[in-house]
Parts: sequence; C-alpha cells; structure tokens
Amino acid sequence: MSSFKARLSNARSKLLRRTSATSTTARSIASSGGSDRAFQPSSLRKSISLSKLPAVTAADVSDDQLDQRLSKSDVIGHAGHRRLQRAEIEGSLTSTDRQSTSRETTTTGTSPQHPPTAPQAVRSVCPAVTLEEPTPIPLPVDPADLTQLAPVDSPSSEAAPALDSSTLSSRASSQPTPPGSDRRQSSVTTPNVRHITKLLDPDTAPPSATATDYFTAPPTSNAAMQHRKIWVKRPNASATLVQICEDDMVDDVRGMILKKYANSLGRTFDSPDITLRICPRDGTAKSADRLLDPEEDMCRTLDTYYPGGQTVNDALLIDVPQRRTPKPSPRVPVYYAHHDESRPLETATEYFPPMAVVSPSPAALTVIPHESRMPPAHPPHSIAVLQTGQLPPLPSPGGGTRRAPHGRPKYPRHITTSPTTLTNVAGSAASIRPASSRPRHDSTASDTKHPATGNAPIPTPPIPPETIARQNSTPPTPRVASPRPDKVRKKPRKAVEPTSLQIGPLDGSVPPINVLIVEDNVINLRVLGAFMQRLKVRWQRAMNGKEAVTKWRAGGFHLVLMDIQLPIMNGLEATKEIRRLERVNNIGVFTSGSHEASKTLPGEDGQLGNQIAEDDKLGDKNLFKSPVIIVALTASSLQSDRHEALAAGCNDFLTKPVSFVWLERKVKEWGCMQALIDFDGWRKWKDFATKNDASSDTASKLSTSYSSIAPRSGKAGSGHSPTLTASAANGVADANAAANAATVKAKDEGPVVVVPRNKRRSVGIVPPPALVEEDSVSTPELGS
Amino acid sequence: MAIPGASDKLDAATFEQILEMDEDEEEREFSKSIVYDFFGQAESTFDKMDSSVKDLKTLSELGHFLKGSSATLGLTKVKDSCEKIQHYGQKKDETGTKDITEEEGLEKLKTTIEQAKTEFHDVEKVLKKFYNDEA
Repeated sequence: MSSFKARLSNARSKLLRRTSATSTTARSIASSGGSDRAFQPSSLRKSISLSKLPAVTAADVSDDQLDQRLSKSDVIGHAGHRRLQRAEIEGSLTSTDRQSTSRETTTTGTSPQHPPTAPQAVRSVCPAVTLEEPTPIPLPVDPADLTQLAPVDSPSSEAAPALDSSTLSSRASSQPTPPGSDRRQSSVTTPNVRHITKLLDPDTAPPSATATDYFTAPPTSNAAMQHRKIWVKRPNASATLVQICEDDMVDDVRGMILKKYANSLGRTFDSPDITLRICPRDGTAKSADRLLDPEEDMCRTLDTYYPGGQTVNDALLIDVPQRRTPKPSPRVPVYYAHHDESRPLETATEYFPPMAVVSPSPAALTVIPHESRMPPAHPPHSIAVLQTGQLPPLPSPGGGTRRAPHGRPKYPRHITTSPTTLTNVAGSAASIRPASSRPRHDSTASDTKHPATGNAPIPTPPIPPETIARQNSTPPTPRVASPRPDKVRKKPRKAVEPTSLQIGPLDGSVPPINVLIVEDNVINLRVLGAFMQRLKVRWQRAMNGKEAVTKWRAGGFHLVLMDIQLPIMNGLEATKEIRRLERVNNIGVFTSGSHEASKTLPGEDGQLGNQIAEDDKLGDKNLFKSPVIIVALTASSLQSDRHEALAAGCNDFLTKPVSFVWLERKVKEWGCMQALIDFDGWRKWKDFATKNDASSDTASKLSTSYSSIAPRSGKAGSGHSPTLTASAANGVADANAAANAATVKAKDEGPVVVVPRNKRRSVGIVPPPALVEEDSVSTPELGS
Repeated sequence: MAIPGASDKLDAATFEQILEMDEDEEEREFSKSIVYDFFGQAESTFDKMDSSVKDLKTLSELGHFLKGSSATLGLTKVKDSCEKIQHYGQKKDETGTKDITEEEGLEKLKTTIEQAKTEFHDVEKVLKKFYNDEA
C-alpha cells in the first residue's frame, strides 16, 4: 500500500507540473498505465466494449444491468475502476478501446479500484463518459469502503458535475439508484480512496487541456511515470542525476550509476560491487546512514526518506570496494630510469624490479638479520649494488612484507642478470668461491654445509641460531646464484619443460615444482604423496637415501623432503652426497660451461680446478639450475638432530608427524623461491598456463621468448664477466680480502675497473667508493 | 571429528589432517586405506620384531620404522612405545639419553614390544569401529 501512496504522490506532483492534468493523473494512478481518462464535456459518446463485461465478482452486476448498459452503448467500468473511466472523443473509439481494455485486463489485479459505477450514473451524467469494462478478475471488496467512499466523492461531483463528470465515483454517488449502490463495491481500500480523491481534485482545474491530451498525453505521461531522476554522488564529490524507472530496484539503479560513471567506476567495477547508502535528512549521526539492499524499491525508499522529494543534498552515496589488485610498485619506473643503461636489459627485469633499488643500508642489515623470519634480507642489496653500480637511496621495499625478503631476495637476480655478467669468462664459476668460503669464518658450519648456505634457509619454527648468525655475516648471495641460463642450455630445457609444465598446477597457488619425497615408510609416503597431489605438485618418491641420490641425479627436482633415518643410505648421507655433487658440478654457481671455466683457471682454487670425476658428473645441467632445497623430516624433535641436518646441507626441517599446514607452507615458500630461480621455467610455465589450450602455440612462444632473452644476456655477460672472474680466481675467504685479491688479480690480467663492483657485491654492505663506469664492461679481459 | 574412545590413543589433530584428505566424508576411502595399510604394516612389523628378538639393531630399526607411520597417523601411544623400542635397541634408555646394557635393553624391549602390541590393538579396535561406523 505504501507503494501505492508513493506512486500517487509522485503522480500528483507530476500532475501539478503539467497541464495535461486529467489524463496524466489517471495514468499515474494506475501505474500499469491501463487507461486514460479524458474529459470531454460536450462531445462525448458512449462506446461499446463488451468483451469483458460479464463475470466480475467484485460488483454485483446483474444481467439486467448489463443489458441496460449495453443498450446504451456504454462501456462499463465494471470493476469500478476509476482508471478505466474514459471519456472518449468521437471517432477515436473502438480500436483504442479495445486496446486499453485488453491492457487493463492484464493489470487490473494490481490496480487500485475505484468505487463502482452504476449504469444509471452513466446515463445521468451523460456528458461523455465511456466506461470500459476491464478484467473480470475478482477483487476483494470491502463493502465498508463503499459506504465511506460515497460521501467523500459526492460533494465534488455534485458541485462541479461538468468538470468532474468523468469521475465515475462521483457519478455513482450522485446516482442513488439501487443498482448503483449495489455496485459501489470496490477493491480500493479506504486510504487509497482518499488518495485518489485527493488526486482527483486537481483534475478538475485544467479541464481544457484534456481534449488534445488524450492523444498526446499517453506516451508522454507514460514516460513521465516510468522515469524518474534521482540524485547520487560519490563521497565528497558532487552529485549527479541518474535516470531510473519508477519501479526500479536498487540493483537497477546501480547499473544506471555505472553507466553514468562509465569511466571512474564502470571500467573497474561491476554493478554488484557498488553499494548505495542513503542518509536521512534529519540524521546527523553517521550511523544514520543505511546501506540499501539491492532488492529494495528505489523510489519507494526515496519517497520514504525524503517525503518532499529528493534534493541534491539528499544524493545517495555511492560506495565502491577498495581495489585489491596490486598496483605496480612505484619504484619500478625509477628502477628502469636508473638502470636501463647501467645494466643489461633482460626480460626478467620486470619480475624483480625493486631489487636494484634496494638499499643496503647498514641499518637494514643490522635489523633484518635478527628477524628470524627473514634472514636473507640483504643479499638482494649487495646484488643490486653489484649490478647497478649504485647504491639505491631507498630502504628495501621488501622490508615491509614478510615474504618479500626471502622470496625474492636471493636468487632471482642471480639467475637472470648475474649469469649475464659472468658469461664467457673462464673463471666465472670460480667467482663464487670467495663468497662461499667466507661463511666459514663466522659459523661453525662445516664445509659441506656451504652449498646449503647459499640457499638461505627459510627458518622453521625452531631455527638454530647458528643459521642466523651465519647469514648475518655472510650474504649468501653468490652461492645462491643459480647457474645462468645461456642459449645452449635453454634449448634443451625447452624440450624438457613443456611436458612437465602440463602437469603443473595452473591455479597459481603452488608453483610448478618437482618434489622428491624420500621416505622408507609406505604409509608416510602415501600420506605425503597424497598431500602433494592435493597441492597439485608433481612428486616422485625414493625409498632410501641411495635411491634419492639416484633420482636427484636425473635432475629436475626443486625440493626434496628427506626423511633422515633411512635404510641403506640415510638422509644425512644422501644430503651430503647431493651437496657434494652439486659442488663439484658447480650447481648453483654462476656458470655457463662452468667446467671449462674452472679448468682454465690458473688453479688458484684447487677444488674448482680439479677435474670432476666421471662418476660425479651430472647430466643435463639445465636440470640443475640451482641447489635443490632439502627439507629434512625428522622424527625426533631434538635440536641436535636439526643442527646435524643443517650441517649436512639441509635447508630446512620439519618434525614428524608432519603438519600439513607447515608442509604446505614449506612447499610454497621454497617452491616459490625455486620457481624464481628457475625463472625461465617459471616463464614457460606461466606462458603455458595462459596458453595451455594450445600446446603447439606454447612451444613457439617459448622459443620466441628465449631468443629475446638470450642474445642480450650473452652480450651483457661478456661485459661483466671479468669482475667475477677476478674474484673467482682468488680463494680468499674474507670478503675484503677477496676484493683486494681480485683487484690484484685483475691488475695482472687487465683492466681493474670492475673491482669495486665486485667488492661491493661480495661485501654486500660496503658502499661503493665510486660508481663503476659502465664501460668497464667492455674491458678486454675476456681473453684472460 | 570425534573418534569414540580415542582420546588418549590418538592425536586428534594429526589424525584429522589425514581425514581431511578424504574426498568423501562418508566413504573415507583414502584415510581408511591408509589406516588399514598401517594395520597390516604394524602386524608385519611386530612379527619381524618377534622373529628377531635378539637383534637389537634390527629391533631399533623396526621400532623407528613403525614410529614413523604411527606418528603420521597420530597414534601417539604406539608411537611412544616404538620410540622406546628404537632407543632400547640402540642400548639407550627410553629417552635415548643414557646408555644401558644389552641385557637391560633386551629385557626392556621384551616388555615394551608387548606393550606396543597391546596399544596397537587397542587403537586398532577404536579405528576399526570408527570406520565401520562411518561406512
């Protein structure tokens, strides 16, 4: 009923604005637009429209009455529907009538009903009323209404019969004939009647317009009724009008708003994202705001809140959700601007943009190491310095988030850019050495541990302090570096990857890594395997340490879950063996063709200079981009066992029974890191993910991306390699010593310009005395 | 997931994470097969223990072996006993810290293995009931 009121008042306000009063009002009252009521005092005629006459239960119309009306060619508003009343202009008749009649048929049920019309009334008020008989839909009628109704209406009709003659109700009341009283039943409830009456009064004022209005008004009034403009605004912005339909729900309004705000909102939001708030006029408190439900009737709500009509100050507030989409780091542009020239461009650049800008401020260094969660935070700094030759002015961007430090820091850079730096130089592999030897000073870790050091363990809950200390003193960076991908390698790799990629998860939650589960207990194996399956991670199993080493040697594994106590060869032995093999094969060292490099080195580093025993040689180096991550699964929670595991070269450990939460975390953390290291693989995977429908496409795309990377990296590599060679050549453990030695060495062999950069890299924290000239890159040291 | 009568025999959290891997909570196909595999594994391990009564090293390994899977399933009591077996087999005391003599070890092993069996059978009943009920 409130909707009815709202519509009435709305219609009325329109009415007041219009001169085409009568018909507009009539139409407005009937939201369904069923009929028009035109007012034609003089030339009215009765038309016949009988089709719907019979069978209205709401009004007790007798056959006689009907006949009577029919004989008078009346169309009778049988249900007493005021809207149905119509004053017809001569000649307009039948077709219009039928149309409206049929229209009304569909709408009568919902339409307010007006007091019934008596046939007598038609006759008596004769000037010009055509009554149409609408639907025979039974409507509940409260007889009480009728009695109330009559007195209300009668005055107006009697006072101005000429004007109000179109109002059947008035006629009805003015005609006291028995049939008339009989038909005074109406489905209009009292309140509605009042509204109707009220509305009708104004009708009487502008009768003159009606004649023409009959033809012109319907469309316009129709539009006027259905459309309405409401004020909306975004918070703290100016309001605007949005056109809606009368019966629109809030949900529809949202859609209209999006059209209106096509740029600022429409591009990023869908209408369900938007919420509308309405503020009551009197409500001063914020709490008075109310969110509108999508299914609320917009106009009704507005009319309720703003009885006099919504003003611009009452504009609805449009709320939109905060954008969650990560935006590109603001640093990125800076980075490019800075380093475009100073370092080789690689496709990988965009993936680790902030790193170059990371500042190795002493403060950061002192702080971060103490955070157990992010021990390896500085490596990136040193790398950045190395590669850019500049100390970035800003603190590490990664510092803010927990993940960033260990996710990105270590490797990514190495893999992508550092390789470049190293290529072509004989001693490139050896460059790692100084760095790796440094840790020894600061930690009790055995030599065997060093490879692992490079991988900068992600701390497990109980992390041995030792690890942290080590990382403090030694930026693991150099170690970490995965073998740089060069052209030669990439191609074979390509062939390998796609197949594995297809198995990889495409949901993006867990990177496409390959896990080796080493576990002698079938039960545990099954459980772990099932969990890996659930993570959509590829995995293989090994039942003992020896099998683990064998499988690892086949290559392609990123993560090993290593049970410690195993038959034949236990987990620690297997770990040590894997680390040994990685070392002799220079896995995780800046290399391309590391063998050649180490051989040609003048034997300063005995270890590297050694020929690798045939047995120890690993196969396709592409499958060993970086040291594998070994997570020990220890059944005991003894701290000593953990230390032992770390000493053997494990990166991390989990206590059995393995908590799946932790396991998943580890797989993700380490897996993400490995995916970063294996950037090409990651790219391929990503490409594949986007194109997984067409595998052939993928292959071609991959090769394209390769060719785009390879040439550049090769070129750059030649430039940078001298530095690394120099540093590689000397086995000095201390970073400074290494740098010095490198200088010396470099002097012997050729241009020294590169040294400062090298020093910076190995020290990590030491600010560069001066920026290295880029032309150092082109120094003719390659021959050495 | 309340498992009747399992409170002291079963580590709820651990066992539940196995149950969570079941795709169908009615069938419980995965966890059920794991658990029943474990029953078989435990029986065969106990048999091996019985047949190598004098071999401390083997007993220790067997103890460790069964410890791993019982821990994975959250069968705490069995796991604890197996850990003791492992330690005794290494001629250590039950916490694995102090050395004991071989005789002591063998003596303790005997009782501990029996205890482990009893605990296993207890929890086996509970689990079987659980799965029968579930199915």
